[in-house]
Amino acid sequence: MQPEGNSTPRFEYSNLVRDLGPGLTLLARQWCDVPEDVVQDAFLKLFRQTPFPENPRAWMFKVVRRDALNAARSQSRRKKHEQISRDERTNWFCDSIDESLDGELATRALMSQPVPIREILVLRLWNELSFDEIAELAGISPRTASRRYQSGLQAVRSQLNIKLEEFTRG
Amino acid sequence: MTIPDPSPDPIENKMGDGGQTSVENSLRSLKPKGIDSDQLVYRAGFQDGFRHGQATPIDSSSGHCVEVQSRSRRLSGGSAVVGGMVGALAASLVMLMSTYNSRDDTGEIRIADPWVAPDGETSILPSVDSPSPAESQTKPAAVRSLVVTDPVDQTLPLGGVLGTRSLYRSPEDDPLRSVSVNGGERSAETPPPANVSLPLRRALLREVERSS
Repeated sequence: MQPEGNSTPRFEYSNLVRDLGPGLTLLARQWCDVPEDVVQDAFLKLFRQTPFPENPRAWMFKVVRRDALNAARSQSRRKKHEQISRDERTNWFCDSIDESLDGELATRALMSQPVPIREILVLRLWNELSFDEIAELAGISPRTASRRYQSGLQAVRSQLNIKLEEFTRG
Repeated sequence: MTIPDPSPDPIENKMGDGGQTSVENSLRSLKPKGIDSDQLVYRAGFQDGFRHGQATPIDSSSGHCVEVQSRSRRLSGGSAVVGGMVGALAASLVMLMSTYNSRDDTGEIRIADPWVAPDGETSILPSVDSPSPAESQTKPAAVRSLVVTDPVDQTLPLGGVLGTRSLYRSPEDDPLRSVSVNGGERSAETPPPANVSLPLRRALLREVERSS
């Protein structure tokens, strides 16, 4: 479906928000403490684009990434965010009894990773981007993206094993 | 170089009660928290139908409206408070200006309000320098009753809010009054002499002496 200007098909906007919203929010959350605002603003910018972007999905990832990084540049805000993240129980995921993995455990495992690795994990796992797309977005080669992803997944697995052992022991 | 996509996850982990579960799949099964779509709908200016899958596309002419709406929503709380304060200040200023006394060249206090008669009594009739009757009729009657009528009083009249002293009469002006045992009120002063002729007064005196 190729939108022409602002005469986008009626279901386009709702589909975009429903499909991309959660993954983009998680992506923005890797940098800033106001991910919902960043994603909302990005959607509003998309709706006002004339002509409408050829690939709205790729456009949204670029804008959200850039705006989230800009939002994170405020040092005091970032420090505050990190302080809160350390002190409070954080869950980046929706609560569900069906999940085999606890959201808080996964959040802590992800937070223990450096941001460049986290970004690739989030883009790959929850936004279903290919390594080529990730590479283009992050400004790295596809091979580097793949390598980072594998190492990040390995580290998260280790983290989750430790956490699960602690959880079952305690 | 293109990396094959999607790549199967080589890392597997034993999780839960003995089942082989891929870490990748487990992580994928988690649903990230999203944005508040109701808020987005409101900010984007969509209609309610959006929530039921019937989005109203924004045309190019409504772009400005979207911006105005989102801004007005952000500012609605603060602007209401500021607007209220400005309104209250403006109302106070209007009241102050309408009743403000100023001295004229003779040094006497000139009452700005046209409904105050020169004798200091509040009058319904317009005074000499009053505006035209047509204009007078547009003024509310309640304003008249709050006007300072005492020319000696120099307190700033504020429509009966702060200038209440001017609404009181000084104790010297009031005649002494006492209350009778029957509950009635009479003056403590000696009554003024009755306008009775001398022969009648003599006849009355004689009548009193005779009765005693």
